[in-house]
Amino acid sequence: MKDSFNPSIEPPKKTVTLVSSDGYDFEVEEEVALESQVIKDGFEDKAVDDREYLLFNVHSDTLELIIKYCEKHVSSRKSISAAAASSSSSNGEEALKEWDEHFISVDTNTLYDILMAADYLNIKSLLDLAIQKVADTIHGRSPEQIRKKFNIENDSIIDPWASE
Amino acid sequence: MKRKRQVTTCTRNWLDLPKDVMLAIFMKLTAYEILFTAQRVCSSWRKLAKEPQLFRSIAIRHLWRCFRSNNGALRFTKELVDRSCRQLTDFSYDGDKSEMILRYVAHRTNMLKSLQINCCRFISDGALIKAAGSFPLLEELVLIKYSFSRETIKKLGRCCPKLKCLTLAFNQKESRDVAFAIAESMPQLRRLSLTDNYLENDGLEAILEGCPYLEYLDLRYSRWIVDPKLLNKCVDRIRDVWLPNGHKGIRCNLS
Repeated sequence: MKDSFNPSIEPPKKTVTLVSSDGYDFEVEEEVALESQVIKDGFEDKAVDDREYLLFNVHSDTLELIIKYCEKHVSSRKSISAAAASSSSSNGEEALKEWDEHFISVDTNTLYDILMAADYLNIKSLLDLAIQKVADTIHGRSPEQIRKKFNIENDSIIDPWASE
Repeated sequence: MKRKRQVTTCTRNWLDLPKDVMLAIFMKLTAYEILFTAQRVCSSWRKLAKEPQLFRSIAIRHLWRCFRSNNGALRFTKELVDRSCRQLTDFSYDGDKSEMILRYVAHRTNMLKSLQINCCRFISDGALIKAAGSFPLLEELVLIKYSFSRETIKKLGRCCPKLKCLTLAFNQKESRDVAFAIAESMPQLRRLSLTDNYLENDGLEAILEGCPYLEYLDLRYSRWIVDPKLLNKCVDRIRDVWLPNGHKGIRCNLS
């Protein structure tokens, strides 16, 4: 569907295949996959007809989310720079920020998976977003509440600051 | 794209996150949160909370109300400085006993690039100069509520040859001396803010002469400078100038 968009100017979009750890294929546009610095770094070394990446550490559930994030960011970047070129006013960046916030409002297990995948694939903006979300979750919580939230066992014994 | 629906229920172990990701999360926390919340969660987080890179930049601001006593706040400040393991580069402080804290910092880092002390009424000139001797890399210095002698400023300039940004607030009639000392000893300055001062024309002339690289000059509190020619010279020479009339970078009408 997206390939038919303005065919007179843009050539048909090249695609790459991402394979999740549980063996599912995801065919995505090249520029979407290149949001990952790891894929970008290895991209030139790969033959054009063999652009398949085995992502051993990313489950298909998570990969679906990651692709959604990258697609959104690629398309938003385009519309923001198009708006800037035609000097028409745009609230693209605001809207994207809002979208990000909504995107990252997930349960702690999903947040963990996104964090791990963004780190593994080296997608900096997504990693930053997830890191900020974890920090926001810590803000204002007591150690006990944090342990509960992240399912961490308390193995601390000494607490030199307990008296403050 | 193949689709499937299968809920993955196993719980994740947050302690398995790579160390650099955990450190990046801790970097988003305040020093207070690291010491009083994060490090109490578990032994692994406690270990992480001791990483020096978390404490390269320390800002002690409005912290005093968090502690029952001044001693608690001082102990907290010292603990942060200790944890920086001589890697402290930015230090900002608005609490009590600033001379003692300054001495403490000076003994524990020589990497400092930025120093801001908001209440330094009680720092002696000797202590300030001695501390400055430990900060050869200092690029930014903000001192509020302090009175300076010409000698002090000159020594500061000599101790910190890389000083590029200087903010001084003082309310005594030492402005002329201070201006001449800045002009003599801080030729590398890029940014200069003089709040609350009695700077007059000759002092400003000296600064323009002695600090040729100035890109930013704040004269909003320099009420005694009224010579329009001199102010126009500032506007022409320096990219960002705040004038005594509160305007930014607008030439005066000479007619």
